[in-house]
Amino acid sequence: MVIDTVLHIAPFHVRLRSPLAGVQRHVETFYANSQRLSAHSFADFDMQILPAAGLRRWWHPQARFLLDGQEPFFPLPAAEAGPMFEWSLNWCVAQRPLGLLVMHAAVVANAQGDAIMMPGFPGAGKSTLCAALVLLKSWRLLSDELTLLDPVRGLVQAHPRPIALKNSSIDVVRGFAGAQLGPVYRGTRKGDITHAACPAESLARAAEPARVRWVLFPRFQAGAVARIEEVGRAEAFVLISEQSFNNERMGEAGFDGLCGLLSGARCFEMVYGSTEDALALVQQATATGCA
Amino acid sequence: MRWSPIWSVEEASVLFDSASGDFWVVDAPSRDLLRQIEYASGLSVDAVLAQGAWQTQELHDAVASLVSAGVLTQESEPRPQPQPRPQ
Repeated sequence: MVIDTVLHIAPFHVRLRSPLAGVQRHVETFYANSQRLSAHSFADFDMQILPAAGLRRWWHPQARFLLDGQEPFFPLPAAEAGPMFEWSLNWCVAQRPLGLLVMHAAVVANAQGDAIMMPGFPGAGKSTLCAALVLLKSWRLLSDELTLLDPVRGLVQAHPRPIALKNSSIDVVRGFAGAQLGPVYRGTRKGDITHAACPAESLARAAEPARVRWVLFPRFQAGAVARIEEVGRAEAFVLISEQSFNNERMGEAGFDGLCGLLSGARCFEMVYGSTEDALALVQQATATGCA
Repeated sequence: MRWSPIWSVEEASVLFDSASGDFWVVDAPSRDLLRQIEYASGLSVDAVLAQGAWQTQELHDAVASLVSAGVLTQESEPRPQPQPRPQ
């Protein structure tokens, strides 16, 4: 094995084993400062990324993902083994955690621990906006992809990892001061993709939860005139529930948790055509104060 | 069934069925109707109207809606009397 370690990727312990150099490079690039535990430590997820067997070792080589020895997906090209770690870990976090409501949403927090949650369908522009807030406006990254709500405490847990970028957003974020991008993987099923490193400050404060004060539904639309409109919380409940991975499994606890989150937040839908417009709209929304 | 708070912006709330995981957004008129159904379910119109809280025109109208929707049964109509058999 090139890599066999247990990484602390807050709030989880992830055991990762792989002989693939691409996985090792990815971990060295984006998780160099993550705490490493002994290989015998308790792990929430036991992940392996392995080369495919047989002819696929040499002919169009493939990488396989195993969780607890089971293979939930079809293999991917071995050249994508690095991002495969991110995609697989997303799947683990969406499927496995107990006691956390998991939603497909970016979340960032200010110095006071007041957070903006940004649910969004793929392509809505939430990762680009998230990167802009973190890199240009010093918001703390909790996650660019998965909001983890502790329904008992009403707080979101940080799960800081590299920000996933694709296609045209890559060059946009590359232009942000302080952006550290990894290699670009071209022609994947999601198009061209790369990752931007999570700022050290966000990693250092990963143990600090935050309280959602604003829910923003961003929508990038080329050429659009910037506009923002307050959304009712019941409507927001529906939109967020559509982006939740485990609300049915969480049952009443998840329902109560999401209601509590919305009761303490104001919700806005925003449409914009540029990063500058988006940042101005966020400023406008957060200036309205908390609920 | 669990209710969310009634949120102020739109006076709407969410009703959650924990058995199925289904939920519904409920606005103020719908919420009133649901509460009337919840209250009145299984009662006859006469029994519902006998309650003091129902003695307003508005709620009489609501009961009429429930009857129209088939939620309540109308028992105040004269019942057909059994006819004597021809000898």
